[in-house]
Amino acid sequence: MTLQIRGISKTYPNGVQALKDVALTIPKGMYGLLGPNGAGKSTLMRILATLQEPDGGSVQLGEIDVLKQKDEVRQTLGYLPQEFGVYPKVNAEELLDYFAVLKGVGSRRARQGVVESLLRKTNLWDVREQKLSGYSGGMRQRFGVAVALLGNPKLMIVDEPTAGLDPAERVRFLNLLSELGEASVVLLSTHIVEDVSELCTRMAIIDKGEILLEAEPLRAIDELQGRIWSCEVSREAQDDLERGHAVISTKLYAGRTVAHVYCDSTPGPAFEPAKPDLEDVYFSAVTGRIGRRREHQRPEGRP
Amino acid sequence: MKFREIFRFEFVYQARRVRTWLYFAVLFAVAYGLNRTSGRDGLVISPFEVALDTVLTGLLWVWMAPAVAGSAAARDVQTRMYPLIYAAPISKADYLGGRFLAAFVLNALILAAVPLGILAAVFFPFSTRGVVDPLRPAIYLSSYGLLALPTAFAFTAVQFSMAALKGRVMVSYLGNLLFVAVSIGGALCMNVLQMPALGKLLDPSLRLNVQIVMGDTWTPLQKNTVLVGLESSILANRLVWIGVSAAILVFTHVRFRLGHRAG
Repeated sequence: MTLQIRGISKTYPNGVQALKDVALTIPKGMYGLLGPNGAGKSTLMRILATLQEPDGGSVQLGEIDVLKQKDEVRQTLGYLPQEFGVYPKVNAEELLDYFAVLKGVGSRRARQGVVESLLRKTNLWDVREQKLSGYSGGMRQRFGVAVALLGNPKLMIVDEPTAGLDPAERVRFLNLLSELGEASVVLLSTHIVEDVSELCTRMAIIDKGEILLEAEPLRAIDELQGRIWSCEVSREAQDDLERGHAVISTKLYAGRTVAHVYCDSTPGPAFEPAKPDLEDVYFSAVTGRIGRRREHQRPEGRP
Repeated sequence: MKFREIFRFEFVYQARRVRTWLYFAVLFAVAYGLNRTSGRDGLVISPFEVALDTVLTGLLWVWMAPAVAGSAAARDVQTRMYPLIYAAPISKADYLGGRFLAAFVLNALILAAVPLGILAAVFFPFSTRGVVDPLRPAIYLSSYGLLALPTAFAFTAVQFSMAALKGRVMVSYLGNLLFVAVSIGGALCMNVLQMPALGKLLDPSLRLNVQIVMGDTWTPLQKNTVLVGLESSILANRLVWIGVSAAILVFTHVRFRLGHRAG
C-alpha cells in the first residue's frame, strides 16, 4: 500500500498559503516529514487524516481516494494530532474502550484484550483507573498514541508526537512506531531531526508550504560528503562570515559558536571538513543550498 | 452499535456529574414546595395544577438545559478531543444522533423531577396537605408526556444545534434568547394584534396557553377534571414545535462537519 499525494494546495481565508502544490509518494514503512513550525506540516496531516479539505490536488491510499472516500480511510487510519485534549472526568481504560467501539472493535472480550494490550504498551496500565484530568502532558500524549494504535491502522499519521515526551517515553514511542511501520504506512511529522534520523527510511523536508527535498536520509547525508565545513566563530565575526560564505547553521558547542558552511570546495584555511548529518541536510535544504529551493534560485539556462 | 455506544457513553458521562442531579433536586424541591399545602383551586390536586406546575418549573429548567445540551454538542471541541473522535470511522448521523438523544433523555430525566416532586408532596406520609388525594396517574402522565417532553425536545434541539454548529457550550444559552423572542412575539400576537390562534402556536414553553389562557378562561370544574394537553390548540402547538425542532436538527446534520475547527 502506497500513499500518493499529488498537487495538494491550501490557502486559508486570511491569505496564508499553507501548502503549495505538494506532491509526495510515501511507501510502506516509516516516512519522516521534517520542517520548522509553521511550515504546513499540520495542515497536510489534517488533510491526510480527512479532517480538512485542500483547495486542489488528490490523495490516493492504495485504491482509496482519501479526499472522497473518507469513511474508508477512517476505517484504517490511526491519527495522533499535534494538539488534543481529553475528557477530564473519565479514566483511560473507559475512554479507550469507547474509542475501540468507535473504531469498530465490536465484541466486549476483544475490546478488553485490545485495551489492556495498548495500555500496557503505552505504559498506562498502572494508572488506567486514574481520571484523565490528573494525567501529565506526557501521559496524555501516550493515551493519544494508544487511541491512534487502535484497530491496527494501515495508515498512521503522527503529528509532532515526541514534543511532550521525556527521553524514555520518546524511545518507547518511537519503538512502537517502528513496529507498526513494518506493516503500515507511517507518516511522522516533526521538527526534531533526531526523530527522523533514528527511524525513517525515507523523508521529505517542507518549509513555507513547499516540499524542498524528498530523499532517503542516508543517501542525502552521503551526498553532502565533502560539502559541509565548520569553523569556530565569535559573535562579532558572525555577520561577516554570513556575508562571505553560505552559512547553513550556527550553534553553540561547549560554549563556543560553531558555524556550518556549505561549499563544494574548501572555503578557506579557517575551515575544517565536517562529517555531515541529517541536520546539515535539513539546513542545506531550508537555506536553498540543495533541493527545490536551490533549483528555484538558479538562473535559467545554468546547470 | 456506534450510535448506541455514543448515546450510552454520553448519557453515563453526564449522569455521573453532580450538576445533573443538582438540577433534578432543584426541580423536585420546587415542585414539592408548590404542592406541600392543599390545592389552590380545590382540596385535591387538579390536572390544571399539575399542568401549571409543569409549565412554571419548566421555565426554571430552560436555564439548566443549555448546560446539558451544550455539553453533549460541543464538549469535544471545547476539550480539543475532537480530532481523535472525528478521525474515527463514525457517521455524522451516529455522532449527532447519539449525542442529541443522550441530551434529550437526560433533560427528560431531569424534568421527571417535577411530577415526582408533586407526587411526593401529595402522597408522602409527612405531607401537610391535610387531604387524601386519589392517585390519578393520567394527570401526571399527560402533563409530562404532552407538556414537558415536547418542550424538552424543542429546547434541547435548538440549544444542541447552536452549540454543535458553533463548537461552544455557551452558545446554547443563546438558544434561550431565541425562545424568549418568540414568546414575546406570541404574547404580542395574543394581546396586541388580536391573533390568539397564532399566539398560542408561537408559545414554546406553553406558559401563555396554560397560565394565561386556561388560567383565566377555564371554570373550576374544567380545571379539576379536564386533562391539560389534549386540546387542539396545545396539540397543534406541540406539533409545530416538534416539527420546527426536527427541521433544525436536519439543518444541523447538513451543516455540521466532522472536520478541523479553526481557532
